[in-house]
Amino acid sequence: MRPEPLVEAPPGHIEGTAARLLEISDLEVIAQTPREAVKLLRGVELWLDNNRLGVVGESGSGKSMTAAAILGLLPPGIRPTKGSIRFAGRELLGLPESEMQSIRGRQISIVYQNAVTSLNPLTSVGDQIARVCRAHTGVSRSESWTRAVEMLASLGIADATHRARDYPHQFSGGMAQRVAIGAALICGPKLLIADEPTTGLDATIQVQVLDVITESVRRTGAALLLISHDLGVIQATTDSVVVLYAGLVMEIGRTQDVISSPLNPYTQGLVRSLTPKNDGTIEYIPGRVPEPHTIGDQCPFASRCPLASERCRVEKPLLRELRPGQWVACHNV
Amino acid sequence: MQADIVSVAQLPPELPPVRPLGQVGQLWSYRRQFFNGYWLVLGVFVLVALLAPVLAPYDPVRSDLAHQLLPPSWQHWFGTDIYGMDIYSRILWATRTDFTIALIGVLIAVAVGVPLGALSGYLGGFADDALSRLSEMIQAIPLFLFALMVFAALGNSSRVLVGVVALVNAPIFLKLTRSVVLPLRGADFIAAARCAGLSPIQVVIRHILPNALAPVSSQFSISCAYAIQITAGLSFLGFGVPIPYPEWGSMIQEGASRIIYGEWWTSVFPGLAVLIAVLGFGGVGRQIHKMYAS
Amino acid sequence: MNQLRSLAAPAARWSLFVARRLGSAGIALLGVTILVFVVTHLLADPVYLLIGQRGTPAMINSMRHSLGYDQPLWVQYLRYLGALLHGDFGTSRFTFQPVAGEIAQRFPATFELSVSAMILGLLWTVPLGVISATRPGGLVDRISQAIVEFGVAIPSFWLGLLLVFFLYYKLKIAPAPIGQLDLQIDAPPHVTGLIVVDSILAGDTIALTSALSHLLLPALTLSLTSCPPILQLTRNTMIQVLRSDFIRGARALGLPLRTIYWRYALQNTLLPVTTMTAMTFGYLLGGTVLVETVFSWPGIGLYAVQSMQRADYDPILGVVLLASTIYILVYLAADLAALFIDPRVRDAS
Repeated sequence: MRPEPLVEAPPGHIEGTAARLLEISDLEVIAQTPREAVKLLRGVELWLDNNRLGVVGESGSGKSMTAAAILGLLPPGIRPTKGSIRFAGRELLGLPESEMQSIRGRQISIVYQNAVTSLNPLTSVGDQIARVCRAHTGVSRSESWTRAVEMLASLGIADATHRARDYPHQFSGGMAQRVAIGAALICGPKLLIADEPTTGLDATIQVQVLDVITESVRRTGAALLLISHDLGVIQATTDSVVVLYAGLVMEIGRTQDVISSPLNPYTQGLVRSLTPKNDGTIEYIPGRVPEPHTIGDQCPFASRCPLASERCRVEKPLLRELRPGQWVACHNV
Repeated sequence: MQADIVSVAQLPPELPPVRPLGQVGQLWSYRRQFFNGYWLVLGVFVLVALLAPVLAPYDPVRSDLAHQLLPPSWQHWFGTDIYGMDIYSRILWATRTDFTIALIGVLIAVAVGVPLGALSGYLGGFADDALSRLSEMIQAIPLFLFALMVFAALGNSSRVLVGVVALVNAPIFLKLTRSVVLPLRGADFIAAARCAGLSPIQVVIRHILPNALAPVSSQFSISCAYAIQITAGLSFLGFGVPIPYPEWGSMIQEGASRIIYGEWWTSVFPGLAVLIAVLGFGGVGRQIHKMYAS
Repeated sequence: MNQLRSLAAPAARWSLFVARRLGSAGIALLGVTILVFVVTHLLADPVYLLIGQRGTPAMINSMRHSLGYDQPLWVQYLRYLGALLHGDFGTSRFTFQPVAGEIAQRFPATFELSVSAMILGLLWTVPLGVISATRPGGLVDRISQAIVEFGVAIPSFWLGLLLVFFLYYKLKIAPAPIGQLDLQIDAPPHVTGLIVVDSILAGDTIALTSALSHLLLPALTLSLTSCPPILQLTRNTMIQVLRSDFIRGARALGLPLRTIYWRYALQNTLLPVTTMTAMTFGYLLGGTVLVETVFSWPGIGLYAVQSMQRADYDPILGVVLLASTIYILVYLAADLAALFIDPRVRDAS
């Protein structure tokens, strides 16, 4: 199904200028159940050039779904119905599988949350990285192995020549994530997506892995799209951030701006919950995230928003640039 | 080759079904889901077994050498065998034989296997090890050879056949019950019951075994399917039910030598009966499993 | 090289594992001999089995004493065990030959049949399972499910007869079910006892064609009735594997579908499938009784049945022991093979 063209151009975009590295406009993704179609992403907008963009939101906000949509790896029964995903000027939605295959791993790569299970348990890590290399370039077996070992070494894996022959289960969580990053970056992609790369790891290991990510992305000159529910992680590693709630972008802006002075009520609630109050309690947002099928064409946060008005319950807010470099989707700010 | 194989974090939750008539409506949809052709097939067989004397047009054991080996016709729907007996009638009567042997055999297996399995799971330790080893040993011996051995030791009769069926299925029920009981051993509600003064046996019977009811029922049906295959196979080899007593397996054996002459009806029809009965029991067993799995 | 290297390190750890498994198998074997012993000596009077109703009580008593059956049970058992370990499986009452020799003579036929059935079985179950898994619920998958359901339910001897009827009587493309070779063809000189192998070694194409054509129906019957669980397992495992995280990861890295299906996915499916294949093979070697009867196949299964019909009991016990031993050993081999195939098992043990 051919995605419909944009109705409203994202702010700052002028036809004819150099295309951004990644540009998602009005992306809608639905899940087709036997009874009805449920919207999971209801008009996501984001863009990124050669920088580090964070995507933050609670579980169910659609962060991983967005990543899957970019790579064309949506689960069965889930498909995009509207909007566009442009990568280096090229429309990704609707591309045939064969072309997507040449983009994945080569132009856009991804690392997932649990690295050990994301790797084939029955072949050595070196072999797996080398295989990715060979799949996209025509190098020989030995050359690809050498590059794999070099990559592992550059990611901080000691004794890489021997460790390359080891199997994924022989690596700890943090080390395995380095392997995954190695496989993702071996072909020098322009964009690395990291989907909750540190969730589930020990705090000290988390810091290490984030360092490895930022360092290797800087070294290879790739852009980074970091997905996390942890605002702390986002703060430490990204330049800009996108705040997602129930499949809709609530706010986009520079990370330090959004965190220090959030404009969208949801973001404000999120940021407030980061720091405990003076008496030690945490101020959480009352209510719960609504089920996707209960949200119609409205602002999904209306049920919990302190500023909610009638308009919020019937009309979806669009992103507006309220301050230079900070876009907010809200009717009431 | 298309396989969409990404598992992404959140898929939308199951939407609640529409229930126009409340409980009645639920039962109706339940029925469509779980009660299907397999139950019907089994029901037909049970009816046939009960009504065989009424339904069978001919005497199943009366030989009539004037009408040997007649192909299927209006007088003899399934034809006649080498002794001139009507195959259709014999198949109907054989339903009784096969089903009786299978049901009794499996019932004995349950009566032996379930308590032993509960014991094994609850007591643990040496008893558990010993019983598990015993089950393994019985299951290490290939089925038909084991049966031959038992017939050699105990003689060739239908009682021994029932015993073989029971003996082969008992370890299955033992393992099944054990696997239900074992994880519950340390459960809180068990400790509470013990504190309330219930003896171990009462605890097992009242609180643990009900959990085994569902898997055991499912396995019961599947074991009956297995039992019919064993019965038919052993009778085919000449063990268990004496000729000319109608039994599907021995009927197949009677007709086996005629196949190469093209006289197929003597073996094909009894075999079909076995196949359909086994399919029926197997299907019902799976349906029961689906019922309690949801 | 890589395999060997990773084997060297934790050698001490898994030699314990191997030793434990060997011990376990040994106990199982011992248990089977005890079971067989119990069955024969306790549940039925062995002297009675030998003489039957023809003897007077005096004869029975003297026989009992001379054969040592009045000794305590455990002594009898040890003597029995000792005899077994010397290869003495008893004597046939019919031919007066040692049972061990007769079994050895007939075993190659069962072996040949089982191997053929296994090969045939793997040829149709594994690819079908893989293809079914790539589109669960699709046409191929539904056909596979139907095949599994019928294959497991259908009596093997009946299927054999059906095949004989259609392929021999009706279509005339299969030979008569009278054993391994046509009656007028001589068997090739005995090297392995496996007719197919021996005829290849002797360059005897006539015997080879005859042997293969006679193998066809019984092997087909066996594979259709004993291999469906392999189809089911392959399909289910493959589906699970295809849903796993590492397949998602592999796809996300742009690896070609070819690599993903036929290397990554299949590799991971093969471990449980190999284990089940080994067990099916072990079961086949002892479970051919019915099919051998239908096709007059001169293997150990038919031997056991014929002996039973002649009230000759030692052969049956010998066959039971052999078949159980094979099953236990094959099971053990499958377990140990897991050590080589799955690096996680190596380190976990």
